[in-house]
Amino acid sequence: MLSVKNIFYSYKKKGFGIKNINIDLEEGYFYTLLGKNGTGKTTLLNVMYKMLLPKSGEVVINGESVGMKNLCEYKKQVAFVDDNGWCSGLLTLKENVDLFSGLYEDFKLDEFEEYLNKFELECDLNQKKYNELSKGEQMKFLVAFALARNPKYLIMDEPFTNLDPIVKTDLIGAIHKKVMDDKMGVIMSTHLVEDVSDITDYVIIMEDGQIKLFGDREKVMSENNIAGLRELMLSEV
Amino acid sequence: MNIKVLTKSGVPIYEQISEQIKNEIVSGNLQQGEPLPSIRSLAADLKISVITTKRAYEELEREGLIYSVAGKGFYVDNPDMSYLEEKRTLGIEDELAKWIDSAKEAGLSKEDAVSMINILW
Repeated sequence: MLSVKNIFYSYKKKGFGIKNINIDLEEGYFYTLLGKNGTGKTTLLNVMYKMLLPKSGEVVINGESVGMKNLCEYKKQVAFVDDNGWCSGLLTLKENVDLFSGLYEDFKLDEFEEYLNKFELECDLNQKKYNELSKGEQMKFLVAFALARNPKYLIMDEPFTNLDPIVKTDLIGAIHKKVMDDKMGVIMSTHLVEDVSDITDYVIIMEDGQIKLFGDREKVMSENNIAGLRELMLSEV
Repeated sequence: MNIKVLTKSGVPIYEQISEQIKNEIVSGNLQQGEPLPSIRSLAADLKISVITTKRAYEELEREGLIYSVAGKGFYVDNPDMSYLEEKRTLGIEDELAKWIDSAKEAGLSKEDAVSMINILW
């Protein structure tokens, strides 16, 4: 179980943030975090991945609060994907893999290459630099790397917003398989109601920095709810 | 077992799954004691969530069509076939009634309708 408990975070200058956030992620399930732009999804996921230190509250993995002494151990078990990427744009893909895969004991190079094939990312890893890839290719690379790390949890911040539907389907398919076969736990944020796909187990809806609704997909996305949901997503602050 | 789900059909996915498995059992394609695919493997095949798949199985379990063995999985139970077949016939009766209504609206006579069935049968 990966939990965030009573998270409060505020940006001094901008005057907003997130508060009263409690989420339990179970291994082997897919959670979709739905909310308009600016509701705090990225802040929440950054706190969860320990890139932002909350003003109060804690991140807990398997009953242990994550702090300085177990941070490395935590990062080994959790992968993070967003469309900024962690790669150095100036290094070749191969150099990036060599440099960063060393951090993760469970990284499997053969699995990584299998994913690249599956996603049809055809390029010479020794030649191509990360910067020279298209956005879609970069995302294939990042997802392949994240899955090949065999993490217990995968946190994804609006990963597929700019991708074409075929690439999106391929990547989601591979992620779902990892959730089914290896019981990886996933949380993925999106601002699109359409992105709450059939593979989603639970939906978390955020509004104005707080969790507005949490429940399993079929209930949250039921006919009765969906109209209100679209309204919520469309209404302007 | 060949299960298909349609995302946009309006029928909840768990219901589509439980219906199809039910039909397999009633038609005898799935025999008593036969194991069903594990929840996670079926979910992976159909590209749907664990919760949806679990709900489909729970539905079938409630109706006494399958049973679970802790730590092992789900198996086809020994269902009350006569009850199931009766339910199935009732379903056809309902549909036929609807069909007859629309035939009447279209101005068909009973003889027309019967000869239509005879041709299509």
